[in-house]
Amino acid sequence: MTSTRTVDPALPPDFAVRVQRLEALETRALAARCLAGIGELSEVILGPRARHAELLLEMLLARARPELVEAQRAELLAARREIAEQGAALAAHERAQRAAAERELALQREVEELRRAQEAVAERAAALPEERAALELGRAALEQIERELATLRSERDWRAAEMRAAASALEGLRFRLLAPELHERVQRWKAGAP
Amino acid sequence: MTRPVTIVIQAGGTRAELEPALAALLGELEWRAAGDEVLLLDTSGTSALGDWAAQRFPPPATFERASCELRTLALARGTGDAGALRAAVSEAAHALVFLMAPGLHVRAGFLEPLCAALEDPRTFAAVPFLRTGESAVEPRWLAGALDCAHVAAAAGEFGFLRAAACLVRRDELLARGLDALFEPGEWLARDLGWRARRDGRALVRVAGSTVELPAASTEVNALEDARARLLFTWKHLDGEALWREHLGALLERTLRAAEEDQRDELVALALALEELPALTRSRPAGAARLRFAALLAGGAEGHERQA
Repeated sequence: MTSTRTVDPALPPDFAVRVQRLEALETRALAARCLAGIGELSEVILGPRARHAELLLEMLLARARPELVEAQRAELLAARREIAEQGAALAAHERAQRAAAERELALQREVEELRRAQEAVAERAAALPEERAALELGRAALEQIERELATLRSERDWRAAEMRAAASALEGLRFRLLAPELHERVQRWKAGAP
Repeated sequence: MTRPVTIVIQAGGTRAELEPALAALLGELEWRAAGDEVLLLDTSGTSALGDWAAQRFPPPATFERASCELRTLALARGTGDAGALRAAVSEAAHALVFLMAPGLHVRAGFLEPLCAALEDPRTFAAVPFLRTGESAVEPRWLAGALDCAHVAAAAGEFGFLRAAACLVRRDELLARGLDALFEPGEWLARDLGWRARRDGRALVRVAGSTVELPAASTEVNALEDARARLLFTWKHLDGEALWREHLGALLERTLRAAEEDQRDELVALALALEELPALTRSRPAGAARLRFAALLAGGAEGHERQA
């Protein structure tokens, strides 16, 4: 079932009208009103007005003043500049240090290579007497071989001469056996007879 | 035992928004059959809403086996949220009252877990999950001011009550009252819940209860929100150290806003400061059971300076 009843509670203040009234004020006037209101609020809550004044003073002193801000800004700029210069110098120094480190590294590598070369020379020098002895042995062996070879060669030559002599003798013998008259003619011819 | 509930809807939105929400609600209450009551608040100064409701949801056709009632409470035009809710709760027939936004779509069985949660006497208000992936606002202290942090909504206790969907006890709501200082908007319920929390009571988000509140229904006016946040802070802040930190932050903000011509900030501050006399009357007398810092998200962490 539906029913309707009318009551009349107190009307609230018109919020929009109050906003319009405040918005019509200049910013400074509005801020001044707020500061005064905060003073009242402070008095209501904390008690004597002196406490609000003290609070306001503390807060104002804590706030940066324009000339201080300007001085601090200039100081900040100078500090930034100095930092930038120091940074550049540091960077140059770092570059030089890096180049020196690279040079040092290259020199170290070079020294290492020289050391290795020196070691190789020393190793070779240590190995030289043994090589020489081996060479002498080799040379002696070679000479022995050459001698033996010369003996063999002379023996070969002797045998070849023997063989040639034997072959000539054999040829003469065959000639006398196969054609004795021709042999005689040859003997005669050699002797100068017709 | 199923306890009947009075559902209060502040029907300030359009009929197109209200109608489907009301249909879903009435269907759910009919199924629940607990003798619930729906109270529509009409602040248009006319009887148009009552006429519309009577025509759109006629009792015989809609509630054949009805055990719930739909009523309209017509209030004077321009009635504030606090006054309207106070009037509605005074009119409530049942001991439990569910405050509901007009665009809120209820889901089956949303009410029973909330009623069960209120059986714990420590629970002041029980709320459902408003949507999947809901983001909740939780209070924290940041740079000398109250900050509203958005966090993922989780079941269990939370910090800021919302009037869009919450179940409370009628008599307790009437006894605590709603502070007109915080209307219009979200801070009315936040103040109500905070006062309960100061007394050691709990606001509980109930896992088994879900409704659907469209995101458009949660838009807030930035100026109103800033003003109400300041008033909330001034009403509930305790401990001289926190106050001094806060006043210092206010002075700093004022000077910065003046220098940078941030007029909205100054207007919000001036609006709040105009309420000082009402605020003085509104500030709770006597010591609270729990201090301000203890009620912030994360408890008193980071607030060592408070005495």
